Amino acid sequence: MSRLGTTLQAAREQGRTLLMAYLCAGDPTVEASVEALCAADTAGADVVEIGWPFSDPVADGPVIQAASQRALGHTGRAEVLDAVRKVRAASKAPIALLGYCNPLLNRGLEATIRDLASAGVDALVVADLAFEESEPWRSACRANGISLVPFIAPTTQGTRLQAIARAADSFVYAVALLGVTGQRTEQSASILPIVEELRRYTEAPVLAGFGIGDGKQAATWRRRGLDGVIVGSALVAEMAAGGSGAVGDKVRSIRSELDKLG
Amino acid sequence: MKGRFGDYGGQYVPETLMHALGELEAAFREASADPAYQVELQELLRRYVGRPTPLTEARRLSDRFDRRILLKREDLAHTGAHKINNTLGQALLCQRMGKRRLVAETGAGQHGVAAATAAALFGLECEVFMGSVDVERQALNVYRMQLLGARVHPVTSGSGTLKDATNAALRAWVATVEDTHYAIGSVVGPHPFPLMVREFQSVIGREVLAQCQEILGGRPRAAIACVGGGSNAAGLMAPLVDEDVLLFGVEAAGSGLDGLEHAATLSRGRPGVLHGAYSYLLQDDEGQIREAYSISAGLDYPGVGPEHAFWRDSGRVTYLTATDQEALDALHLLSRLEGIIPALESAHAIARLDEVVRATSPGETIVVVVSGRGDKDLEAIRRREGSA
Repeated sequence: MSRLGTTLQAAREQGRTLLMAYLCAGDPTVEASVEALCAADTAGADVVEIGWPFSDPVADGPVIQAASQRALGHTGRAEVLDAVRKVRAASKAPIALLGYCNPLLNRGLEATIRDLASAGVDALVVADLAFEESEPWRSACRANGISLVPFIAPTTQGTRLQAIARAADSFVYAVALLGVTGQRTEQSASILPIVEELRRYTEAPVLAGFGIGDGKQAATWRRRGLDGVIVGSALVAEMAAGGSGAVGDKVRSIRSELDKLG
Repeated sequence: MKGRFGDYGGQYVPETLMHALGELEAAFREASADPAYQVELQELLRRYVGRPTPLTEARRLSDRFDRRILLKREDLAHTGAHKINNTLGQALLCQRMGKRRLVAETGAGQHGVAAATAAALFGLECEVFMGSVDVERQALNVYRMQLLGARVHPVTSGSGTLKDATNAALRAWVATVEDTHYAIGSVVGPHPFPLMVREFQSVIGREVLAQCQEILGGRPRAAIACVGGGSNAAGLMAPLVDEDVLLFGVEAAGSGLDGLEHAATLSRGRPGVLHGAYSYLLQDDEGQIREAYSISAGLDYPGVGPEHAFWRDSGRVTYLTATDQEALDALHLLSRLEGIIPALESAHAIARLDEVVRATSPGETIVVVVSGRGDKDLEAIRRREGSA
């Protein structure tokens, strides 16, 4: 079984809530982002998610936009692959790569996915890739042993939901709100009926992301029946404020809230 | 694949928007087949916009080029540009879908004004996203939108221009998609926008065909329009692509094609994905989107409509470029020879008449789209040319 498959199955067997921790490669430097991603792993993240900076991140709120801007000048394809390799060498955690279509397409889709796989990426998350456009991406990912993670949103409906469920070969990314990434005070419940319907078509774990910023909010999603959470902007903000130490502390505090639930 | 022009187009958007795009496509199809909708739109175009816009015989310009030159006068449409053709169609659809609010992006402010106008007419809320740099440069259009009841949001992220305003409008749409329609301003964005906006603007080309039939008893030999995102050009060309008419689009070469200060996406860009569509883009070696530049704020967009990408590759349309200086010279030329001050965007089309002349014979007819009037540009031109 793949590294990611093993992690997902172990969590299910142990009743452990999955925690995926996002940071942007190259924010503020490649080395610092690698160190912080490893710190997140040590502190209890099950999957680390590495962001490939993009000039026009339409799914992201101000915090991740700013991280992308900070990284862009010195973080291209070579540096992103370098960050992946370094995290892969230092950590056993599965690696997800979060990107936008254009930089991924830039040198040819197949070549890029092959390079990501050989650098150590286990799953690919593409923020602006609608399911309807994803088939060439999915076959390139399959050919290289990577999972292409499908999204559901509070607006996902009907036959599309079934098709998305069938395509899930690791986990499903549930966009927990209508809007862009970034911490929120309220945790909208609008995704829950969609998750419930999705469960009829797939056994893949469902992770909620967007707007989840601390342990209490993360625990809310566990109580709502989700298999895990994705935390991004809150960690990017910690990174900007206090570096990898602050990222590790934040992950540890979220982990401990989640573990209280058993 | 769905919503494609050859390889180009598609729907590269976050999952949250897919339902709204499906809903919009369905509403557009139903409306297109609904005679009542068509009548309502036709009446608005006639009685509110003032269509059909004239096809003006440009006698002195014709003498100068030894061709018969006809000007399609979108500058005479209400609000001073072709943009209103699209926003009225979209506002009607918005109402039909039961949505109460429009969001729009704008560069120079022409589409923002057209969106605010349509929103006022239909009693819709209107939020316009405009780069902070453009808010400074186009203060008068900001005030115009506010007079029309729209809220203008300055966008400071990225470079503070049209590309960033479009990002901000998309983000705002994602957050409010259940009661809000995104009235995109050109033939760009995810399917069905490029198709839908082209259909709303095709009134330009249909009128050109009918007016040429009346004036010439047939077809023109050639037609030319400027291309930023490409909506006035697509509106001209879509009804003409199956006719025996030479078609030309003119992109902004800004300070020149050798440097980075231009907006010549089809001439100097490479295919990629921006704002929901696969098309030609100005991008660096890493696939990061570059800033576009042109003296004309309506042309400085680093992408272009996917149908233009298709027409470019197929060779059906010839895409040329004109520099800032050539556009300014053309603006002076049309002003002095015909008493028509065109928008700087439209002046790019006038500027490349020389190439169309080379492709045609004496006495043959050329149609040029004057996509908008120049009033909005006068302050910028006066400053650049240093006259009082």
